[in-house]
Amino acid sequence: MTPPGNGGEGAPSDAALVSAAVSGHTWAQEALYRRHVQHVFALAVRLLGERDPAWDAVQNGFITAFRKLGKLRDPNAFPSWLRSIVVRETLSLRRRERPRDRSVDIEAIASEEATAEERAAFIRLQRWLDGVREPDRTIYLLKVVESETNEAIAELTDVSLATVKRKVARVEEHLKKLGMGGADD
Amino acid sequence: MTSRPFPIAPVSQRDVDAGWSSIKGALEEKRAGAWHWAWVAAAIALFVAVSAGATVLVREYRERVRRERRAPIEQPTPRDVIPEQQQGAVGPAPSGTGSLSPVVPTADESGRADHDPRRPRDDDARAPKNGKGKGGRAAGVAGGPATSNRTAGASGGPAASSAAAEGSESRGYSPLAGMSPKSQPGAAAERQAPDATADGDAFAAGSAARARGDFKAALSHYERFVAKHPHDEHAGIAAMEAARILADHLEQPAKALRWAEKAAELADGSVREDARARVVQLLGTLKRTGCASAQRDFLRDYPNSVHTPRVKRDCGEAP
Repeated sequence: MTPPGNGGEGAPSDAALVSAAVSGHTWAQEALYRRHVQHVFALAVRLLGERDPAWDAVQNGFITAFRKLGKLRDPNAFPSWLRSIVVRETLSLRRRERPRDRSVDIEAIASEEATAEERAAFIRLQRWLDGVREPDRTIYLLKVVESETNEAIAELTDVSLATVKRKVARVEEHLKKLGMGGADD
Repeated sequence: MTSRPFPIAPVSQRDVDAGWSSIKGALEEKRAGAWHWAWVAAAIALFVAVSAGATVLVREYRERVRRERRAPIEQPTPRDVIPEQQQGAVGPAPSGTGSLSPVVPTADESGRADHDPRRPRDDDARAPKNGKGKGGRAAGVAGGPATSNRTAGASGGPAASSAAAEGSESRGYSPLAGMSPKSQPGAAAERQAPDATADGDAFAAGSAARARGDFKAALSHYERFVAKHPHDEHAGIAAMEAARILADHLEQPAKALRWAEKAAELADGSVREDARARVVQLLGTLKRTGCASAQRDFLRDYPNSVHTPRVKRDCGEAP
């Protein structure tokens, strides 16, 4: 899914909407929500492997974002800022969760565009990552599934860059042993 | 691994709308919560302010009531200890001016009557001999002559003066005369009395300060009272008290003389008699030339005064 940086021609930019939202305009908040909700929801589902917890994380993420919107220094950075908030929400949810059987309902979460190979790979990855602790799991998902750079992962997860590199390398090594490949970069 | 993020089925429009309603409600709830706490904080602040104000008002009211009650009950007046027949005899002193109040207020007439200079005090007992130094105790205590060591301010009216001529016990207010102010009944209350700064309370504040031995403060209160209320019936008493403090405690006979002269102008009755006797005494102390004439006038106006024997000696030679 393409990150919705701006709403297209004629539509107000994220920066303009952020400024209006900070001024207390509810319509601007709603516009920001509708513009970014699908993107961050997809991110949350890929990180969590389930729709309902992902939806909770997105809801909490938007509430947190609108409350702290006045602290956002660069209004143009709203999409990445919102992504980092949602990532933290997913991490928080995973840490609070009790251990349980997380069988991935791929039909519920995958879009129609997803090929059979993509679905199989996603299920394998999720199943294998169930045995990996946080934040290693999220770091690797961000690296492999979201194709984020190490720097972006470090920023999103509040982990140092060196730690991110080390953890990514370790997980990739394991995946290679399992014949699952690794990140492209 | 795939080169694109795994495609996720989008959220339905209905869920998006419901999600927005949920987020909006949470934000408004948060805003309402903030307002709620702001109102609570404002209410608490208002309550504290009102409580503090009410506390101050109640305290002031209680202190006022306490002062009003204390004056007549705890501070015995000279009239309280004068035998009834003498009380009946006490009246307006012969006055040359007639412009001021003819009668020195009694305890029944005013709560300030306890400041009547005829009230015996230890500063009376320490009255200077021959205009200098400190004298012995009030004669009434020992039963000796009441007139010899008394200061001018300690005399009664003409009737009381004649009673004094008959015997010291009858005019020495012996129950209180030998006691220091701190040991007199009501002295504790006087010590506890607040130093009121309002002009109307300056007289009471002066008396309270004098009772606890703070003569400078007492002088200040009396001076302010006279300055603000020169026509008050207590102005003469206050001036006389100022003169007494200056002469007996602060060693300022020149200033004391001015206040005694002012007291002689403002006061009437026995206080005026006391003031004029004090004027003669201070003129003698200061060796002023007017001493003889003041002495002559006093003896002419008050031939039977309790102060007469001393006034005759104040100028250094018999008139």
